[in-house]
Amino acid sequence: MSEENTDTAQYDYDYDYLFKLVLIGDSGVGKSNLLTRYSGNEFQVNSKSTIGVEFATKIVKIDGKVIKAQIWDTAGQERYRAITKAYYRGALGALIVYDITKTKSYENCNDWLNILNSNLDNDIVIGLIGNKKDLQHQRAVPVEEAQEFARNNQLLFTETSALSNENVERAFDELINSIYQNLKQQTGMDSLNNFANTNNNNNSNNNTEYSSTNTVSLANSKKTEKSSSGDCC
Amino acid sequence: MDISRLKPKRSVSSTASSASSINLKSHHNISKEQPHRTFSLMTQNHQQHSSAPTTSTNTNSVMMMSLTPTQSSSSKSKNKNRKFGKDSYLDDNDDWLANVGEYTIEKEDKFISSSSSPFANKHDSLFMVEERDIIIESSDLAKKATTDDTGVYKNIDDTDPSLTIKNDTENRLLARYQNLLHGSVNIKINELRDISWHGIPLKYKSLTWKLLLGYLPPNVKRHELILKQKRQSYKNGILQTIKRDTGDMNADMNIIQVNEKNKQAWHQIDIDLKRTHPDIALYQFSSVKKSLQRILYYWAIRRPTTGYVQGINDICTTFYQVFLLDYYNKNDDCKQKLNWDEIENTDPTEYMDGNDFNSLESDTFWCFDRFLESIMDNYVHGQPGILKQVSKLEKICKRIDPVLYAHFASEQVEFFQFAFRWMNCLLMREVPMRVVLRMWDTYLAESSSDITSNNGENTDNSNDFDNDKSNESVSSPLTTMRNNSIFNSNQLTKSYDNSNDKNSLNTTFNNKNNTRLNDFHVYVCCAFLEKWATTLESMDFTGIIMFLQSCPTTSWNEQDIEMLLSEAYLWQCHFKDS
Repeated sequence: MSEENTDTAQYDYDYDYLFKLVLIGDSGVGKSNLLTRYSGNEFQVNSKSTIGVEFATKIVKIDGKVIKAQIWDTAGQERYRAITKAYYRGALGALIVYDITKTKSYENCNDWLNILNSNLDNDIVIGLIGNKKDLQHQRAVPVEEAQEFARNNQLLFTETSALSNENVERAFDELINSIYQNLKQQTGMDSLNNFANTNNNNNSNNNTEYSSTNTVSLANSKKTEKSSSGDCC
Repeated sequence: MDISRLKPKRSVSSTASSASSINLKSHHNISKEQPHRTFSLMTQNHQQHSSAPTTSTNTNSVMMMSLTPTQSSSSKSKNKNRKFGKDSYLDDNDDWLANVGEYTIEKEDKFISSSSSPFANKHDSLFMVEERDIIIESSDLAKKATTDDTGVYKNIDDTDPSLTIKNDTENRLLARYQNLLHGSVNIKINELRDISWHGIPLKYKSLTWKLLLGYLPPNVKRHELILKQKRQSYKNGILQTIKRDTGDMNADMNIIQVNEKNKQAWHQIDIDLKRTHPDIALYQFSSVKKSLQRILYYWAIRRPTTGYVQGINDICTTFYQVFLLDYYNKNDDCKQKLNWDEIENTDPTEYMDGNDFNSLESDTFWCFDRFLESIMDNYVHGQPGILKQVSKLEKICKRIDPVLYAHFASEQVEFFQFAFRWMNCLLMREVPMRVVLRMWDTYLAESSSDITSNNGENTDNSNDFDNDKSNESVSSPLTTMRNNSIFNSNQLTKSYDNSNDKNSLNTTFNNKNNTRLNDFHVYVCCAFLEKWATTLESMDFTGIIMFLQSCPTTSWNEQDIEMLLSEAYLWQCHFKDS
């Protein structure tokens, strides 16, 4: 499986399924940095606030199928909700992010959850992410409390650090895997195509210079996970 | 109208040559309107128009260039220069541009020189200076010599003769501004607006911006008093806000206390300032952050229906940085040339005291407020101004570049996905700050007439303390604030209704609000998009969106943005009637 990685990384358009995901949560919790870490394995110290939405993709492999995750990173400020809501449409998964050092950002997760639910017709897979795990000494939100909240609302849960690159890949991959398994279970593989956009479009002459896609294989992703946080469904 | 004539040559790099060749073709169509609004495009017979009165000693000299490649000798001796000068130019009245191989010059350009436009003569001499400057820089082959009217060659001190030309150019421009700004008691705002479109020298940038925004009136004698009142009013306003919010009667400007209701705004501004211009040292100094935070917070409180919106922090910094020019080198003889490098890397506390900060903040605040007021629809709830602009950009793109438009459609790219930020931050996120600071000379000139003409008409526009009620306003900023919120809530109701009814967008938003800048900005965005058209057409959805959210503009300089502004202006002229 891993031998194919290099090939697929070069051809962004060469995928079996397209999953649209959205990143939401309060301003300043680290959504953009999570995304740059996941899609390009970088941490941008000099990142600016997100205006409207930003976008990145990543290729993931499950069961030998190539899945392209199209991730929309939204601005956190309330003013932009009207704008960013438009991007929820068609999403198969969402990650609600809070900052473990900011109680308010955790409390607002409930609002974010409601906003998601009221703007989506179908059930989607939702993950809760407590970011800035590296700032343990400033922790304001206990892991257990967030875990409890996640369990009650049937959310995936992980604590991450975009800065130290802890659990970031895992949080995204779990979400993607969960979407894939759900669809597979619910509908059977044959009709999965009806839910996720299948790609037939191989004619584009993609310029890889501007795409930050990488390939990972979920089968290999159980490497350095010394996480203290729990995951539950 | 034949749209295809307008279509710019596709070029990812914005070389002057390719762009000018198209623009020249379309030029005669608009030359009667305002022929001075383009860069590197005109080929007037410049000697006929040197009408600008100048005071500098250098300004009477005429710059000469010899452009033939054979003269690429590296010798810097006066004799050499003299020889080049004599041999290479034929006569002042010759069309010297014909020597510039990179340029496509067509017969019809002559039309411009005989233009009957009232603007033409006024600006030609200035204009030619700019144009030459650009060409000199764009041509490595160019060798220059200088002379004055009588044909006597000047001494050239510099080792590089091109510097002399450049200095000469700058001196002319400086003299022009000096004369306009300090030549008489009443400044001719229209004239100032027209020359500002082409860029304002650093030395006069701060004052000119304040005049263009109507923050300062044309009458120079009133400046001192008005600045004093405004600055006092800003200070009082902040202190009263703190008193009102916290009940603390010993309010201190330096320690802003925030009540529960406004905590959110304060926090949002705080986290955004930590990531405002992270690449420029100036914005990392705590003195600057505090200062900007006060401005933005006070603005958010005064404009409750808009409040603080992410992105306006970027807009605020342009005023802040330009007005810093007033204080930097204030005590020197100003012999040393102003430049951004030092300002961007020096903590202002090294050259400013508390009073200076108060003045700087106040000027920034009022100008920022005036400017934003003209584009308020972009920031009220639902951001209808931005929606409107994006849809207009889409329409224009469909007309001028159906190929790109069709490609976007087939890739399911929506304009909103990339253009929202372009509108929200006025392209500030897309180009380097230095380029923004140049671009805004044009933007302020463009929006100036609307902003300044609103002055005095809108009596419910509380920000105008220029008029006679200034004393009252100074003494009771809270009254003003209340009026202000009434004004705003009316506006909000209108905007909000409209946002639900897209069809009525076009008709209702024009009231009171300046659409002029928004309109021009859409054309600038259009020209910006067109810059990358060839690249984009070979990309898929992901490629397009990824490219457009980080366009390769890090090496852009003022000339790149000037080309863009010129192109935008030409588009705008062509679509004006349609």
